[in-house]
Amino acid sequence: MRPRDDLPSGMQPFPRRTGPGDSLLLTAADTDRLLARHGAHAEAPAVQHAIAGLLDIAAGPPTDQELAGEVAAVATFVLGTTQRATRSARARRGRVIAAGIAASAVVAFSGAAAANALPAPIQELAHTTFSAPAPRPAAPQPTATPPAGQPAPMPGPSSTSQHAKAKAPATKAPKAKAPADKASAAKATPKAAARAKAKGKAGPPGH
Amino acid sequence: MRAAARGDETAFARLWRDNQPQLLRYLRVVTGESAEDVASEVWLEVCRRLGKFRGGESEFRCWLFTTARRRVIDLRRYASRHPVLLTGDPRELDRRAPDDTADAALERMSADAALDLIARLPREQAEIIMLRAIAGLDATQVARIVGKRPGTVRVAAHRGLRTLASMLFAASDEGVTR
Repeated sequence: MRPRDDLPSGMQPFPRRTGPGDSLLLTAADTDRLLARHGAHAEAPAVQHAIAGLLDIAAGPPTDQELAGEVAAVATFVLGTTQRATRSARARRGRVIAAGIAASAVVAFSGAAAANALPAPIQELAHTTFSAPAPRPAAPQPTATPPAGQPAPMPGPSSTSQHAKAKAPATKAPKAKAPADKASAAKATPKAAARAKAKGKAGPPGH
Repeated sequence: MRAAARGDETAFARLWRDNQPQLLRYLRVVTGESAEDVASEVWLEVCRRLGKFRGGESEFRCWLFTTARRRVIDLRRYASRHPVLLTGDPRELDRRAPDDTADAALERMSADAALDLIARLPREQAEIIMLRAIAGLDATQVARIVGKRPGTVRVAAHRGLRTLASMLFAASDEGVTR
């Protein structure tokens, strides 16, 4: 049991209840007024004044203890802000680098397309997309003169590919070049020459 | 508010000073002893997400107390899974620092007594009264925070004040406050 003077300071003493529930009458407007901390009307029951006093004390000025953590809170905020700034700077740098790489790639591609230096299918695509020059027609197949004492190369797959080359669009050109490349490779090393020779002999069926 | 969101240290300090006492008192009523720990966690989250916050001071307060309430719910869930047994006298553990002045102790005692009285209300009523009267939020904002309709919040607040009045009468009748 604690004495009456233990009531929170500032709280109004109020009379004992006179009628059952009379002093506890609170309208919705009273409730809103008290909760908004506008105080009780002068003619309001004493209990409303007591509630208003209680809420005023509960919402009273801050104590030193309540504000003791300010330095730590601000330090945490500064640390968080610095980290956030570092992260966003890093992300920004990454975006700039990615944009630079993309721009360089676009410039290089456009340059190559303008110089007609792309492989034929890609050049064709560039031609149709942004009116880069059309791909060059494939260079005519160099006629390989067979070495002396050897039979002329039999018309085999190479002749059909020649035929196809004549019919096929320009995009097929690199494939048609393959036999000529093979022949030049065969010339380059003796082993490859022998392999090419054997191939030439075994080539057409019935010979 | 905008300056604090941009990272201005002084603006944040002001924001903290304006809201920390109300936050602590709200948390004292709804969580008791863990109020300061929960408040620290709430401010930590605020520091992390303040850069993306858009709105005025009223919206900020609403956001702050929403964050606090979520933390309280987390704490209750955690506490229900990990009950703590105190081995000492809680009053002794919570004793005041030696540099407290008598005036400050008296001042705190008054506010403490008022908060203790509110904390004796049913949890929902106590929370709503704290959010409305101490945090200074309106019924719509409180309804958003507690996930109820404004009408329900008004009824709960009305019941809470009536209960508070009954408690005051009871205290008056008995001649004691506790």
